[in-house]
Amino acid sequence: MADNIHNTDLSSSLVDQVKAAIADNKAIEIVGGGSKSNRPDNVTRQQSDPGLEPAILEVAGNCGIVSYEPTELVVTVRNGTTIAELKSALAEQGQCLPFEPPNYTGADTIGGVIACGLSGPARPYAGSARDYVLGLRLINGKGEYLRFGGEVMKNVAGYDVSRLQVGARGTLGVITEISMKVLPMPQAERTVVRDVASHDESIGILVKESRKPLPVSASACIGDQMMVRLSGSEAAVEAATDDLTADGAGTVDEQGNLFWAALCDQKQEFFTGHSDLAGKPRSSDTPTDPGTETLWRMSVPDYTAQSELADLGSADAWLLEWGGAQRWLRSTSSPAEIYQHAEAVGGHASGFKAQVLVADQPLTGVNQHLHQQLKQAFDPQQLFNRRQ
Amino acid sequence: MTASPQASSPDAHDVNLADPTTQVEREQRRKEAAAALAQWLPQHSILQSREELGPYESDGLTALKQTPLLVVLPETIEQVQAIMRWATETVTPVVARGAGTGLSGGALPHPDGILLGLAKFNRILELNPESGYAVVQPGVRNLAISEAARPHGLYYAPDPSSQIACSIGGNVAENSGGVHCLKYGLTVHNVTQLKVVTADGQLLTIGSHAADSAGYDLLALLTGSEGMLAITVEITVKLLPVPPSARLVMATFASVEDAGLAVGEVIAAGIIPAGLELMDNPAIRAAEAFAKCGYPVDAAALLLCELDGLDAEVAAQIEGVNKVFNDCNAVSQHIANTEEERLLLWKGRKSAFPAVGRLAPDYYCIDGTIPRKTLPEVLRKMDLLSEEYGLRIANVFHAGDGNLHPLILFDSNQPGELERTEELGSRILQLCVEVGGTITGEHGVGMEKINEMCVQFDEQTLLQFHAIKHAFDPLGILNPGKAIPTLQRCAEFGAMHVHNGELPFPELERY
Repeated sequence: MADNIHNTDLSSSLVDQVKAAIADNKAIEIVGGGSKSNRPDNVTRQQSDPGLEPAILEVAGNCGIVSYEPTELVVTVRNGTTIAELKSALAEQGQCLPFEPPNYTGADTIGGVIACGLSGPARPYAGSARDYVLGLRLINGKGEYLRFGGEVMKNVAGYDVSRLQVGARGTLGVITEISMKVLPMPQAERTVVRDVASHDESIGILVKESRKPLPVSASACIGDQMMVRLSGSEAAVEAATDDLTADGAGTVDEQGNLFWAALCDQKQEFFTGHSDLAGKPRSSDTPTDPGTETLWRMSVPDYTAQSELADLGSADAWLLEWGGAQRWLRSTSSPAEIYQHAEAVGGHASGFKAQVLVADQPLTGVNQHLHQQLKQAFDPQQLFNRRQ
Repeated sequence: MTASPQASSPDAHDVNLADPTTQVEREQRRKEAAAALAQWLPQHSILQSREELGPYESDGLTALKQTPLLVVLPETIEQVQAIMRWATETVTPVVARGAGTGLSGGALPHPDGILLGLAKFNRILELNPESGYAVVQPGVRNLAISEAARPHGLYYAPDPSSQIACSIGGNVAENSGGVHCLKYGLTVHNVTQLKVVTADGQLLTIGSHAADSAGYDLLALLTGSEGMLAITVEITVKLLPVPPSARLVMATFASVEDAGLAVGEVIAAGIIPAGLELMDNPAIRAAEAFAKCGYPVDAAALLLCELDGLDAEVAAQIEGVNKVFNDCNAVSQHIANTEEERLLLWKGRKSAFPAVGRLAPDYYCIDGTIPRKTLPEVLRKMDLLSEEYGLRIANVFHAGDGNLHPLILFDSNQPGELERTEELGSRILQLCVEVGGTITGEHGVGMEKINEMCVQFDEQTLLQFHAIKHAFDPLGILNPGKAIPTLQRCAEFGAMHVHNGELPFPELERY
């Protein structure tokens, strides 16, 4: 285990702070590395209940690896551990988190990645963040410190509250500790690039390839280029490279790993090259300012023809990844228009500015009712992350 | 679970209430309920005579039996909705049932409730080879999905040993695993969308054909929720490409500890086998006698290690595994020469339960999961417990993911032996919790392990589970009394154990 990892258990202080907020009838804003949330001082004025200043719960100090045994394929970490530290500790043992947690700013924490349910380029092939969560500890809205799941691969005792927290954005409680499955790093990786005439051509190729037993571990399409990453044993990667380049249209990109890292962390030019999307001072982040571009993440069935979404933006406003299942769009369109398109193809959309979530597909009907009931079950006083 | 017919002897727990006035009242209610449901269901979908109800009085855990008020076998989603609306109006318990192969009594009927059988939902609605998914009804058998996908070079990965008979709806309710879940995951990793009917009869789609959905991950919450939160009426599963090559290494070891060590070393070498199974000598002997599959009966421990993928990849991994097993003092190693031999060697493992069942009139299967490194300690302590209770134990172990299935051999015709077996089982589960594991890896809590939930979770956590249940089912009509114990039940269970001596593992952190 790396010596340079900070190791501090603040859980009892966090429980006390939650209890204090309950006693003072205050809302709580959970703040980790600060990479994905508006700074709270910008938020309070937007609260529907302006009289109630939220208490800030700083969780990034609760950090460090609690236990890690490579042969058990399980790591348990505190929520404030940075992605960078965690990845390097695993890499020392030749292991990794196969869902490729994004690290947007360098300060991103595993707690934030899990709470936001973020996964990198490998997601459709290796599984998502939630797929790798085995257990966690949570402070609920009653100030109770609870433990769900465990450190074993198979566990069906009680409801799967651990995976429910992934993507819940801290609205059901404060995650303080997470146990995750880890896997050996692939022996070999290679990126194949080929020119495509259209996004629909690339989707056609990717959908076809993903029904073959090839070790594809990432895919993307920007402009007229399609990128496919192969990961696995030397032998498997070799064989798959031959398959993908057999028609003479594909070439191996020796710098491919840099591309995937940039894509994962949203440092790729598509994300950074537009001043509307990146580098904005956080204080000016507001939901969908008219006239400025929002970065939309459209999560749709991978086989969805791009032509069905084409009137939302020209080809160069799109970046497709996850075999077509995750499509990024830079757009000034109204949220309603984006949601409607997403829903029409069986997907959903969320809008970001500088990696901060500013808009999210609304829930309706019985689904919305069940969400409210679940929130009530964990957080009856509506303590946590109200603006989510 | 007790899987042999003898378990239905009078010694089995009959949870029927014997109060005669209650019985008269119940007959009256039975007639009323049947008449009410006939508004929405055809007569052949309503079973109410003793003879008709008999086959439904237990699931795969035959030690627990109960006669339901009625069995209903709806044929459409609208009928399921109508049943649930009626159940909500009349506050009638509803227990959903798939193929009835569950091993934890999850589908044990409620004496005042209806048993909602989903057997008629048995169609594959869509199989889309281009996009790699299948939309199926909950009564479709697990293996039938893979059989239908096979001509397209695809299959459905989770393969519980009962896959010939168990239904996909039951797999969702239990979050079933299988021998290949180390590499391919559990049901929760292979299901992308559910259509469910809520307790009050509303139809809801959870998940999607996209990678994720807006809002909370209800798909994860519903999977493995044991029929406590909603009734699943349609399921979309992922179909994966069949690996071009699958090869099986069988290795024997002089001790279970050596074999356990070898498992850790394979993983340390960076190899994730598709399946990695360990059997101890009693299990090897039983399986060989039953399946005649070529296991060496004098081995103390046997590992089955399957590797799959592209030909070249598998060849390289076989080489790696052979070297690891050699370094770990394997007594013998054998690679299945043909596909027939590979399947035969698996048949031995997959029939281990019935095979062990032939060694004694009855057997009781435990489903604890433990951190793999604690295997030697757990086996040693189980040996001591086996002596203490005078009952034999055979062990099969999903070694890759730490899921242990000790099989306790007993004879329910011997007075008190079932009770002693259940107590031994409970002690083994508490041992699993003690070493950092869990009371159930894949069979579910159901009715069987409801007391042990009190060992694994503290009061606040159990109350949080009840709050989740309440969010979905405020009247508590879905599978009442299962999966999550009441605090009162835990108090009684705790009191019983204090009475027997010390509280089990007072030093334990309870979770």
